[in-house]
Amino acid sequence: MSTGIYLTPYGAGIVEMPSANGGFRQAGLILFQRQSLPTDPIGIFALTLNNIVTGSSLQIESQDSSTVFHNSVVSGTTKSVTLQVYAPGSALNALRIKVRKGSVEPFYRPYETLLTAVVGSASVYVSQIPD
Amino acid sequence: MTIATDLTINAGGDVRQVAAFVPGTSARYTTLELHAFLQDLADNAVAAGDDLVSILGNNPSELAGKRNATRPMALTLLPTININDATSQWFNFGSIEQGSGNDLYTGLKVLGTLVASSPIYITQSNAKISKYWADADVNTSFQILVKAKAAGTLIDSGNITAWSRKYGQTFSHFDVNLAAGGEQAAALGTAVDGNIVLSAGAAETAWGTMTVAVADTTQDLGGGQGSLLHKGTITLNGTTTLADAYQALMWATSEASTATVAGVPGWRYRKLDASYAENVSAPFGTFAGGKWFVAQGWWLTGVMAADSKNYQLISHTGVTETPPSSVQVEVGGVVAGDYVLVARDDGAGGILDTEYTVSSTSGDTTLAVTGLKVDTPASGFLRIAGVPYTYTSWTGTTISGISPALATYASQPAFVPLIDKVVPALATSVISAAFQFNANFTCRYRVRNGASGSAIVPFESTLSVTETGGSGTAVRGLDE
Repeated sequence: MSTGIYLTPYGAGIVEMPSANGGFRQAGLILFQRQSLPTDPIGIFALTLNNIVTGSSLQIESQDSSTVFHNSVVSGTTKSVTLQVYAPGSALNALRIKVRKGSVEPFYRPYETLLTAVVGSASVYVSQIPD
Repeated sequence: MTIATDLTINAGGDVRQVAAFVPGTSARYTTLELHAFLQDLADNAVAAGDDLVSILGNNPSELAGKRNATRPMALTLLPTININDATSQWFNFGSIEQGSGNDLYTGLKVLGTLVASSPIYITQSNAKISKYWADADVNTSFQILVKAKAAGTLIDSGNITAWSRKYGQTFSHFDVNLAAGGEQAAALGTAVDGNIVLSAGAAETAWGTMTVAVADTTQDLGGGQGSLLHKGTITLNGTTTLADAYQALMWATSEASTATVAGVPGWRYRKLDASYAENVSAPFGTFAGGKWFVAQGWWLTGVMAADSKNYQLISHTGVTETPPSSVQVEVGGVVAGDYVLVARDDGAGGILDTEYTVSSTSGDTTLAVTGLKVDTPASGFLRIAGVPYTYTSWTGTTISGISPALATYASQPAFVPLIDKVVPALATSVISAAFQFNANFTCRYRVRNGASGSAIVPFESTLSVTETGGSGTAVRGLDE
């Protein structure tokens, strides 16, 4: 949720901007309405990665490699990541998931898969192959 | 130093050496170590330092199979990660493929028993590869990478040859095909060559006294094998020993040689004809027990008389040729002052004194002898119409060095006695000059002495001349 400043002949203030499409807010006599842009998120994608080798490096990026959405070293065998979903057709919904473990034994071959973000949730079974 | 400090990787994926590989000093990394290095970088959140590989980029490498430090690893660099030729010198024990398979560096390992620090050289497309290894590498483990494929094309079909040809040692070479990647083995073996006693300079000098020419020649060595085809001729100058000739040819075909042998650089000369078996340890044949076993196809000429039996040839068709035996005839049981005449038996109880028919002009010291036998002594005696002469040599059908100068003869009978002289002082036997054995024959020999005080009853007998020569003993019955 983001915030915005409003200025009126009757006063000024800060108001939270709606995150949902078509959200609006009333502040006194002022009615705010925000029209979402095509590049704005339209929802949440709850991604769960199962069977990850603990200690693996995880990166989730757009398939055009222009945006990195997530990067971490996974502890445990399951990793949940919440991502935003954009308007249908957005390149930002096309995800590449990279899982690598080449620094500490046991080593695994880089694992990579592609996924499309949707409003809701999904799980991915990560099948890393020993290197 | 570590692989991380010896290499850099730029944003374009170029894996490059920080400094040039120094043979004998720098330590090579296995292809597995390169893979591990790249994978270690590949799971970093962001690139850092001078090795610009991280999880932001593509997987930089993959192995064929799982990591295993005990066997060579076939590594593929992905997709833009690459090494260049200079950087490839830093790696061994496996292969590196890159550029979607367009480039391939394959491992080469030298196996076998070699003299310490035997120098190795490698040829590819008939040219030597510049060395990026040290001679001492063979003392531990000679393992390098050799570029086998460039721009999608195998270099010389992937073929290379690993050689060790140091003058003073036996030679070795091994053909290897690198197309399959991984690590390929070259089995080499060298030993100190006890037949090499000349310095390299002296051997080079000896090389200058001989010629080696490739051309068909049909020759009969005289050992009973008949006329046979040879594909080349080694011509000695008549004073170079076979031992020296062998050493000269070993020098000419050694790594350091600049000689051209049979139309190719000596350091890669292997055999005279593609159909022949190779003499890997000595391209012109081995030398053992004082005898040169000349490689197949070569005809040898200009051999010193003393070496006339010290070699063996193999014809183009694979027939082993042995030189004829050099034999002598000896008559014993004589004393100084006895006159000994040994000549061919005529089969009728006499000496064959009509062996030849000759003509000469007064003053001649050479004589044409039609049908002169090949088993004529190298020097010795000649009688024309009963008149004795001596000669010093012969070749073909010409006797030379005749003394005294000839008188005029017209179609006179002549023969070549094997012995025709007075027994010198203190001698108890007389021996003919050596001649090449051709076939068995019978000699008749006479021993006479009519001098007052030592006169004997004339003695006459026959002896057989075989491949080992011939001998007879006089019985001196006093005639006083």
